[in-house]
Amino acid sequence: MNPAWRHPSFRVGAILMGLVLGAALLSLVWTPYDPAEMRIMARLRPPSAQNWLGTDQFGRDIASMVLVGARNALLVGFVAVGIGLVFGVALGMLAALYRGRLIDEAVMRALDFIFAFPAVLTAILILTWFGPGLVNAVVAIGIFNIPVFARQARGATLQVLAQDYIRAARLAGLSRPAVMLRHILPNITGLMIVQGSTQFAFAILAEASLSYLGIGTQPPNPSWGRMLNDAQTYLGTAPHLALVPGLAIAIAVLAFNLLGDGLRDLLDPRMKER
Amino acid sequence: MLALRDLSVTFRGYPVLRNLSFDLASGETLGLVGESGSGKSMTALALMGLLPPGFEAKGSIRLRGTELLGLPDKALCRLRGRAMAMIFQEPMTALNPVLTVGAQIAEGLVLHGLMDPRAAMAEAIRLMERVGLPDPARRARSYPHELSGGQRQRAMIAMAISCRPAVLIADEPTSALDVSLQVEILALLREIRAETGMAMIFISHDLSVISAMADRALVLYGGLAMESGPVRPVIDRPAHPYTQGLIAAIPRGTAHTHRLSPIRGQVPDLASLPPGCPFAGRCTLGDARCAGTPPPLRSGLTQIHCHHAEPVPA
Amino acid sequence: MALFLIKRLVGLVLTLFLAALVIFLVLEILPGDPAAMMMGVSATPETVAALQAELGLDRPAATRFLDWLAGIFTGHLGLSYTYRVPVAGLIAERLVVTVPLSLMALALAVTAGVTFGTLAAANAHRRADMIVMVLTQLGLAIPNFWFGILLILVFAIGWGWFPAGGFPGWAADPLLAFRALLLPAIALALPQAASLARITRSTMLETLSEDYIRTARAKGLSRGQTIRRHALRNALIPVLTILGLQFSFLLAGTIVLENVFALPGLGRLLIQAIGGHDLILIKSLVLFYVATAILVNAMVDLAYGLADPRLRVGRA
Repeated sequence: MNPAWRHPSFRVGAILMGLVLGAALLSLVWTPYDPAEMRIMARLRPPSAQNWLGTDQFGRDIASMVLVGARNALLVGFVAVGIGLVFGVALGMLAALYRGRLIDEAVMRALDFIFAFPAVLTAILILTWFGPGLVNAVVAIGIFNIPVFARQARGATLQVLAQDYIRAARLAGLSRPAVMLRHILPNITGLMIVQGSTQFAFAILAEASLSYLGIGTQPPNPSWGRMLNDAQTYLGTAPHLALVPGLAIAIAVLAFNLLGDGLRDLLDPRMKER
Repeated sequence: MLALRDLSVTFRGYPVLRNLSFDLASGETLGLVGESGSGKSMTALALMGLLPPGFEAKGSIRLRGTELLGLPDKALCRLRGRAMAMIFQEPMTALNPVLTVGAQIAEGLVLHGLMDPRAAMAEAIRLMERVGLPDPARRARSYPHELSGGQRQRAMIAMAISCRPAVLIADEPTSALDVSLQVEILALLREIRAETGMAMIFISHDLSVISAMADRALVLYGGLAMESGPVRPVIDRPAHPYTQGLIAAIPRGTAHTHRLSPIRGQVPDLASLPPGCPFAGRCTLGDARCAGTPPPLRSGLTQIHCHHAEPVPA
Repeated sequence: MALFLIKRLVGLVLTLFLAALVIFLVLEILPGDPAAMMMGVSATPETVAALQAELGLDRPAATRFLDWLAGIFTGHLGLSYTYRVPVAGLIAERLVVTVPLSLMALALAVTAGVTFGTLAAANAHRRADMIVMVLTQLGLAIPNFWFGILLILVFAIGWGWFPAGGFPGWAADPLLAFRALLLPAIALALPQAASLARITRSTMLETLSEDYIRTARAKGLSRGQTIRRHALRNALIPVLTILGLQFSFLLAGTIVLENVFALPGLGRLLIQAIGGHDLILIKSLVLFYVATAILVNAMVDLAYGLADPRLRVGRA
């Protein structure tokens, strides 16, 4: 058996992620109903054979919306982590390479500054400027992710740079960019994947919050956070509307947090929590 | 007063200490000699009932007639610090960095109900003066990092003797210190021993320190008592090949000053120990029997565990 | 010591100034014409021009920025476009909800986090530890606003113990006001408590393996006494460092939770201001949040230096 599979966090995380990924992929080819189709006659229905999870205030099928919502959540995670990863790792490695020099100081100070803005506020600033919407929300979360990755990448790069074989490679005539690509990037990839998993979970949560507040994903695109906002209006009459989207968010976040924890233990046995 | 009978300690099934027995009378000092991993620190921790998780002790430890093994932690807590106290090797890390030195010395006195906090602090200052800390009233309000290594070890001694324990276990108390400081700390311990009449178990890898401190010596190797007896014969006329080797090594200065943390790095060694004499592989007299069968106890001027060597006749 | 403090203070002021500058740039300069943006697509050029004049947008940007900065100290932050009342007054009257809410949540999060984290570490790898670890994973995964909705569903709609939302005001009925904040504070505290518990557990485990813990045990302290008197403070020093960051998340969380529970706090005001394109209000509100986050982080840094005697500067 694969040793990774034996790690409980990794296993549960992988299963849950499979669930979310499966839902997202399924929604590409099939949903029980068109998630945007409104049928006023069938509004606020409880779960039934026709609508497994019931319908919302416009008669839209909740099950279909939750499935499409998975696609939305994964997309958010990928783009937000992608932005953070690309810019963060580049900046972090740059800072590490010129450690202690002006550029290191400038980059890290600038990133500290971004980090001082709570993520939701960065998002609000950007959304006020560009107007509400999924893309802008994702960019905002991505920007908040940059300092997170940059700090990790800088620290990890400095550690690798201190190794003897890097000095040997430099002495052997390898240029700095070559050292970065050939030796450092492969060495910090694992750590970045671990951080990426955690930030993925964070991105899903942040987008859900923004969409709940009405400044993230805009209708008719289904978003779990948005669905919860709608559900709250009908909490007294149709409480089931509030259960499934929230559960979906929790499962997706749990999946990536557990995967991240599992990967961290597997990549570095010394980091294993005792 | 203190009696060990067949004390064995295992770590996940591997023997760390094998059938150790000794007696200690009031005012007497036993020197435990051995290399890193010989089991001497484990002996101390087993006595204190503070073996790390995963370690198991069997046999008997009786202190003034009370059996310590199997005693619930609550009862042991009443004895620790009060009936038996311990000085650790590393004065740098054995003191809590966020509490003042005075508070740490006074703590035991209050804990064991000997004094109220005010009196305990006054006593702590008196003890600090006794162990030779300059300006004790001010030093009592200092934090450990503001003290030098020697001063910290003095504070550690003050802490250990604060409740006037019947037995003081000193685990390599001077190994982490400069040579000149070593001499001072040893002199201090001798003075205090004379004043209080407490018994002492003095642990060291350094035979010269043992000969200066102990009435009797016990040489450990691989968890087994190789040789024990009055300190002079053990050092001057050792019978066991291991003790002989140890003494022969002194002039060459190959003292094993390596500090080993109790758990890590021991397991492979313990796992590869032969069921017989642990010294079998390195011994000049060793043969097939040594590795296979535990060596018998032979008594003379000293007591040895060996298949081959004869003890010097009493 | 003084020099160290002055350096920190200068850095802090500089950060705050930069934050204000960035907010000003993003909200007033980058959109091009804030007045047009505020009035929306239906506005005629005349009404936009009138608003520009009213807001003083015809003046140079630098003057406007400096006026705003000065306003932060004098309390003249302009009139809210949607509410038609002074911004400073609006913020002041909303603070009485947001500040108690965040403090209650912080207190709950720290108490629960440290307690459960210590409990887990003291029982490492045993059942209690496993249960706490599973609970913390759930606490991190459950969105705080969903948790809030569930609390409303159970305790307000289901059992009727608490109001489902709204805020009666402190003057009218302090006890009722407190009850109105309790559920949102619990929901807000959940993820922070979970993350604090995990961090406390790991620093506590590290602390418990230190030599001075064995010294304390050798003195005769029981396991519990050792944890309380010797381990807790050492284990909490590293926890303190992340408390600033935790507070940033918590502050952002109040924006969401105030909207879940319809609490008239700053967060609800902010979302309403965004809905009304009230740039004047948004600008000062965002600065308030960011400045609070920065100031709290600075205070936590300072507290860290005080908590660890080894870091106290200026002592022999």
